[in-house]
Formats: sequence, structure tokens, C-alpha cells
Amino acid sequence: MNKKGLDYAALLLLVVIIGLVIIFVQVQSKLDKVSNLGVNQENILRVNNDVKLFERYLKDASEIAMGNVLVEFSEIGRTKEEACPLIKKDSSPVILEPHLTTFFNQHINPYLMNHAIISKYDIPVNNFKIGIEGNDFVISAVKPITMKLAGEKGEVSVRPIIILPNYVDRFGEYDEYLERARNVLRNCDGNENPFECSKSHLKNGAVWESYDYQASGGRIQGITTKPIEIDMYKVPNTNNYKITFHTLYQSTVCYQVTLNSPAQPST
Amino acid sequence: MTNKKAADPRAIVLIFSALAMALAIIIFYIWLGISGVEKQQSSINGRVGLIFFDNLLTDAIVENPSILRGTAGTVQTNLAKLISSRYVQSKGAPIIGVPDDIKCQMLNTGPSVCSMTIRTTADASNCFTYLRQVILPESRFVTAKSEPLPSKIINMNVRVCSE
Repeated sequence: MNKKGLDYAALLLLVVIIGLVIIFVQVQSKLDKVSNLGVNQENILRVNNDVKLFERYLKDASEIAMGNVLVEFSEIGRTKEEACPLIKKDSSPVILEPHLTTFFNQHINPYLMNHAIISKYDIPVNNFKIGIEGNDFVISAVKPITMKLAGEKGEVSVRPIIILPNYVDRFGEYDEYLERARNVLRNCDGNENPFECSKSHLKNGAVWESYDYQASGGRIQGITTKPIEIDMYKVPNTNNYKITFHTLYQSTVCYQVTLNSPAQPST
Repeated sequence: MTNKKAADPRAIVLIFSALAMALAIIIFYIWLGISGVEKQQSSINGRVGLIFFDNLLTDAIVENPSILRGTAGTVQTNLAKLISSRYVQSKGAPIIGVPDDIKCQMLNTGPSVCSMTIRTTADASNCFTYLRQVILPESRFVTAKSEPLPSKIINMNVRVCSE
């Protein structure tokens, strides 16, 4: 065999082998980066879970904020006799206190700001409005909330709607108390001193099974073991008696009861 | 008279060399292709496993955030039970490595941390890690409305290993 031919072939083979090794090394380094395949898709899919968790946070924060609003309203109800806070369920349709949205936003804002600091989401404050649908509170965002994708490659905007289900119905338990309170007022109707009369009804346990009570300055305040506090007082210059029920940390409801032939309360 | 010219041995060597090199190049590219596809498939499967588990974990927390409240032991137990049962529900097979691989450190101040490794099969080879941050609002009455409230932060370092 011709030696020159073999030399030439061996040289070619060497070149090819070197070429393949170079290609192999280059490709291998790129193949290692294949493990990053799907990262962007993963971030896009995972943002759905970010949204779910954020909505849950909003819902829980809304429950807490609404509870705080109710406590604050009950405080207002105690200090301002003209205030009948939150809901007049005794009327139809249910009337929502017009300042509820403002109060609610004031109470939920800190939670939004706190979340924004931790998560780096763009969360506007004073962003929620409240409505009633059936027995539910419907809390909806006005401006969108912007969430960045992991890796900062893109962002998602959401405008959440939170439903606090059967929230209006939570006041249903007070209907029972309202009826009992009305009975007290009926029993004491025409009495010379309706407050003392009411107090005695409260005291003898005929109306509220178990309670403690305080009477101060023309107001009867009963505290049941539930614990539910009951304020009852006569609205000045009217025939109306106002009865307010509120728990210590949850909800407050206000009823306005009119006596047919009211007696003058003692002062 | 015919003049039969013998084949040039150099040409034969060159032809065979070229064929051998072409064969080597073809085999190399086939290997490269298969290897590339396998790596891509493995990566994609790993990501799918990660997303599947993240969905499972998120849904569990969204349905009942209180599983992340309590002592480290309680949270570990809650997570282990929940993950196991949900995984069986959705995949029909038990998960491997739970609950032993869940370790939580719950702190009153600062972010709490839970680390877990989830192996979906015994011979799980592809492992991907990710951080799932959960923020829970603290329930209390606020008087200073302008100040941000401390929320409970749980950083979950999750390592998902799947085929």
C-alpha cells in the first residue's frame, strides 16, 4: 500500500477527531445549560400560585380589617348616640354605612403596605370598595395590583375581588336579641322609668339568661356571657330607642326601635 | 487487449477514511441528538414535577393557611400529612421521603423557614429547588393605621426530585 495515502488518511482522521472533540466539548457545555430549559415557563406557571396566595392573604386581611372596622364602629356607637353604625338590617333593603369603605381601607392599608415591602409587589393603598350582594360583602380592587415574575422577566396585573360570604347573615344572631330587647321595651312601655324597668328585666334573667350589666347616665349596658354587649338608650327628642349589640372583637349591629307610647326615661 | 488498470490504493484508503469519518460524524451527531433530547426531556419533566408540587402545596395552604401556624413540630406534621394525602389523591401513589424530609424552624420574630425534599419516585434523579414564600396576616386590632403590620413570613425551601 502506498505510504503517502496512509499518511494522508491518518492526517485526515486526526483532524476529524480533533474537530469532533472540539465540537463535543462545546456542545457538552451547552447541554449542561439545558437544565435551565423551562425556567421562564415555570416562572409563568408559578405566578398563578403567587396570585392564589396573595388573594388568600387579601381575604384573611379583609376579615381582620373588617373586624377592626366593626370594633371601631362599635366604639363610635358608644360615643355618638346619633351613630347607627354599619348596617341597618331592620330595614329593607339592607343599608350599608356609607363610610364603611373609607374605614375598611384605613384598616387594610397597613396589611397591603406590609405585603408590598415583603413581596415587592406594587400594591396601591385606598384601593378597595365595598358592596353588598345578597348576604355577602363584596370587596373589589379599583386599581390593578402588579406582581413581578420570578427572575424579573415580566409582570402580572391582577384586580382581585374578595367575597366575605354570609357576612351580612352574621348579624342574624342579633335578630334574636333584637326581639328580646323589643320585649323588654314592650314590657316597660308606659312605665315611669323604662330604664329601671328594663334593668330589672335584664336582672331577673327573664330576657337574657346570663349576663352582667351596668347602668350609667340613662344608658343600660348589658354584657352577656357570649360575650355580647348591649347598649340601649333613648335618642334625645325622639320616640326612638336605640339598641346596639356588639361582640368584643367581631361584629356590631345597630337597631333602632320605636315604642308606640314611650315613657320619658329618667336622666 | 484490455488494459485493466489496478485500483489506486491511495484512493481506496481515502474513500474508506472518508467513509469512516462520515460514519464517526454521523454516530456523534446521533448521540448528540439523543443526549440533547434526553437532557431536555429530563429538565422538562423536572420542571413539571416542580410545578405540580408547587400547585399541590399552594392549594393546601390557600385552603387552610392555619397549617402553617403553630410550633415547628405541628407545622411539620401538618405539612407531611397534607402533602402525603393530597399526593396520593392526585397521583394514586404514595410520595417518597415524607414526612422525614420536612424540617421547620418557626420563629416569633423574623421569617420562619421550612425546608423539604420531595421525591416522587425512588430513583428520582432530577432535582430542582425553589423558594415558595408564604405571607400570613397577623390578626390584631390596629390603632396606628399608617404603620405596616408585621405579617408572618414562612420561607419554604422546596427541593423536588422526580424522574
